[in-house]
Amino acid sequence: MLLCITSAPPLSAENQAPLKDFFLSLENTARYENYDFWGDPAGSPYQNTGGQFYNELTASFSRRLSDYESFQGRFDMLYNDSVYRSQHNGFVLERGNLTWEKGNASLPFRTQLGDNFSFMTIRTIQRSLKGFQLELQPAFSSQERKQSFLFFTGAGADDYRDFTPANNLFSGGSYLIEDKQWGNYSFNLLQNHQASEIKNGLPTRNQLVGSITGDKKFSFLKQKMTLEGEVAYLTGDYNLTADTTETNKDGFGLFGQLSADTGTPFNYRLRYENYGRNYRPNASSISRDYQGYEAHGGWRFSKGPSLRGRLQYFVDAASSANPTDTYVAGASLTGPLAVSFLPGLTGSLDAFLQDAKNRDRTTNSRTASLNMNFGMPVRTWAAKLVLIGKHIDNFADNANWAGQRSYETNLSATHSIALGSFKGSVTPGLIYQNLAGNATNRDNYGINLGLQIASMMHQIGFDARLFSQNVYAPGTSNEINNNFAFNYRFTKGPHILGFEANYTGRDPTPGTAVGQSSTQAYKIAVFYTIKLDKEPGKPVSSMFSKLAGQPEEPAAPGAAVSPFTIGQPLQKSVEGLAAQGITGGLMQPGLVVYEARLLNEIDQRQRLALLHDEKVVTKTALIIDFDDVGNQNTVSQTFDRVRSILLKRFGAPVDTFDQGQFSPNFAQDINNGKLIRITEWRTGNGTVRFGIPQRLDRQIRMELQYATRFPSRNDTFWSVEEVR
Amino acid sequence: MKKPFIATLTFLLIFLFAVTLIHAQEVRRIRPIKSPAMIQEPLAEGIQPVKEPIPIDRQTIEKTMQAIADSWNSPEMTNTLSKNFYEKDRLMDSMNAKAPVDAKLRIMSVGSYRIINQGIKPDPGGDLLISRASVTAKTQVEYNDPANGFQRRQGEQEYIIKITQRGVVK
Repeated sequence: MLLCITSAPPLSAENQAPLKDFFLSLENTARYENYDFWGDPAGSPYQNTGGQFYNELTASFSRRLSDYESFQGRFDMLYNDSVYRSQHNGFVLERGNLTWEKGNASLPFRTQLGDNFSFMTIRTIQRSLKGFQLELQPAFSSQERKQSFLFFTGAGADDYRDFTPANNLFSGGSYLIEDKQWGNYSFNLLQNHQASEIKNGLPTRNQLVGSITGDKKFSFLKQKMTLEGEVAYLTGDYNLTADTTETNKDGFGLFGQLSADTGTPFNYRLRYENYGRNYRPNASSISRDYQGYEAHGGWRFSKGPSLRGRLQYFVDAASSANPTDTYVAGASLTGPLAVSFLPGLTGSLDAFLQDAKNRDRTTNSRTASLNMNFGMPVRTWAAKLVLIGKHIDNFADNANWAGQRSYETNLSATHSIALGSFKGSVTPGLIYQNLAGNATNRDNYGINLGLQIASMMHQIGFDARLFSQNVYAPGTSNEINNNFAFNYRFTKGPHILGFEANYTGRDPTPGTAVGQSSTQAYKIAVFYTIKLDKEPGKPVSSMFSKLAGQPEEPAAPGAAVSPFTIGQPLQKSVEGLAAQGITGGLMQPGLVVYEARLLNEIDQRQRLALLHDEKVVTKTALIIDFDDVGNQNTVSQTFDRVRSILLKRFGAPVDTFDQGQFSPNFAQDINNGKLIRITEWRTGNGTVRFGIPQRLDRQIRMELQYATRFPSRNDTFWSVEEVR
Repeated sequence: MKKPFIATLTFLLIFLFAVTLIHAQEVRRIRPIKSPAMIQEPLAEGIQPVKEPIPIDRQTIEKTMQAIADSWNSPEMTNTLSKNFYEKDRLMDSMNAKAPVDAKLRIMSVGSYRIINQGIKPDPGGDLLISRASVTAKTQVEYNDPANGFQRRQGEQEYIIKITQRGVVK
């Protein structure tokens, strides 16, 4: 760390204010939790009771010294007195990183000290390490070719307390060349040292892993294809189990994949993996002694749905005397489902058949699974239905069970709600599960209720679940399980205050059957977070300016919202509009609607609505129709054009929420709440929101609204329904 | 009769926790260092590098982790995992076939986190900030075994998560 700090460029003497050119950020969270339970301790999710406290402080900084040079750092510090948060008490430095990048050196480099993510390939290493990393990128004369040398050394550890790198030290190097014509190729080498462990009786272990990778894009029979491959070799020791080690072994790992885009709705992928009996890199998650052969194919239908199929064959313990063969055939269909009598129906179907058996037939089973997920609007509700079925047939020799079945139905629906100034949604739901065979016979029933509401500064969430398991086997207990969770957030400027409560109750009946009794457990938590930051060019004191007064408000939107004034007498607004030539308003109960083109740049029909409480204007809305709601491209382009006009006028939005894409079924997607477009700007008095709201009459249009409050962005029914 | 069931579940949990470490690509790619000799190229299709690192607040990380936990052992889980998640199909098949139907994942605590890399995807509606973060979390799988009662399986894992935000790029 000292080396990196002293190597970093000094602060310029021209800068009078210290740290003036730095970006600085501080975030601190103090959190107190209390856990307790009554009844049977074995039934409690929390085994440690009483008060638990911790404080997390994250400090980060960065400085850009030129277009090609930057220096940055981040430190995560913890003061802990909670068994749930960390194994250490007191002060703990959990993560720390210093990064220096310099592209205008004779040898462009990026170096990191402390926490870094070391990744070469998924068959060699991909994990966070605490140590040192250096990447060099010597330039070629051709822009078509790039190269990178990566060197790293470090240990995997949760924090820097009692940090002993030699316990599990990884050191590696990698050379990667990327050529637009010839493809990408890398050469990787990794060494791992693990110290002996007295506790498990393990000796010192060392392993060396080398690999060569390559991938190349090419065209073949009018198809765009990508061929990837890796050959890897391991020599040394590896852990077989937690307390046994294989020493002085060697093994190969092979990987190949061909992906093809045929230029038609069809695409496919073929994949091969083969990891030898002794190929087990410690920093990789692949399984040793394994072979995999896979074929995947996909078809994109013009109306939106996509179909995917797969055939897979796996061999586990491949080189043993008793390998297990697994065959899988699966298919899935996702997207809008064109069912004429169920408009707006979307969903997904996923099914697979799996056959697994080993040579001595102690494993011999067939699993069939069907998972169906449907969603559609039902009046003002967004309904969702999940159906799951699974069959497992056991043909194993000497097996004491022949089959197992399970079926699940999950029905839920979401509806928008308004409670005073709070807007949000409520989602009740039902669950039914039926299981049979292999001593699993039971019927389970559940009922859920979820609630999310929010106003300007307050957010409230509530979740309740009741679940009853009814078992039909001797020596077992039924159980009623209930969970309640509540959370509240108050946010103002850089401050966030939060409260959380969680209750779990379970009641086994008769508990004597399994020697248990009921348990009630809870957790409550309060926390306070403060976030401060400073942009380059501003003094350090600007970090704390938010604490002294109100947060800086962005400039109020410009000319287009001048008729949008809210909170003033209705009469005054009507007169003000008349003075601008906007007249002929149609009076309706609670609102006045004008045909008015406030955005001159577009030709689409525009209507201005003033919503009022008979005295003052409470909300204004500009409703913009689409010319042709049957044309996906026209709608998408018109929406983007209007939004770009508003962005130019109002500047950067404070929040934008885009979900889903404009597909041929965009109208259904909007009416199902799957396609959401919301952009918001803040003003001194409220919020300006622009987007495509979901409407009860299923009309597709844009709306620009100005009000003090809006429902959460997940509540898609925010249109001015009165204006049809 | 019970032992194989528990053994199967234990395997499943180990398998799941192992694969949560997986990155979304097979091999590393060059993350170009901006230099006078090299034209700055997108990090990926349409993704531009950030000028200054943009902090991701803890609440965003915690909400993302809770969303991951909520989707665990549900049909939504397949949408939570990256398209290129290593052995995604095999993991989902194992979850479908072997996980107890009432098994839930509880987040016991979200530990430290670090942004691995960031990029900006320009968009007319406001630029998207795409961050890849390493997050350490303590979790607990819970389910009820009618014969043996309430079951807990604790673990601590590193998750590599991708967060896409709008409205944070100034």
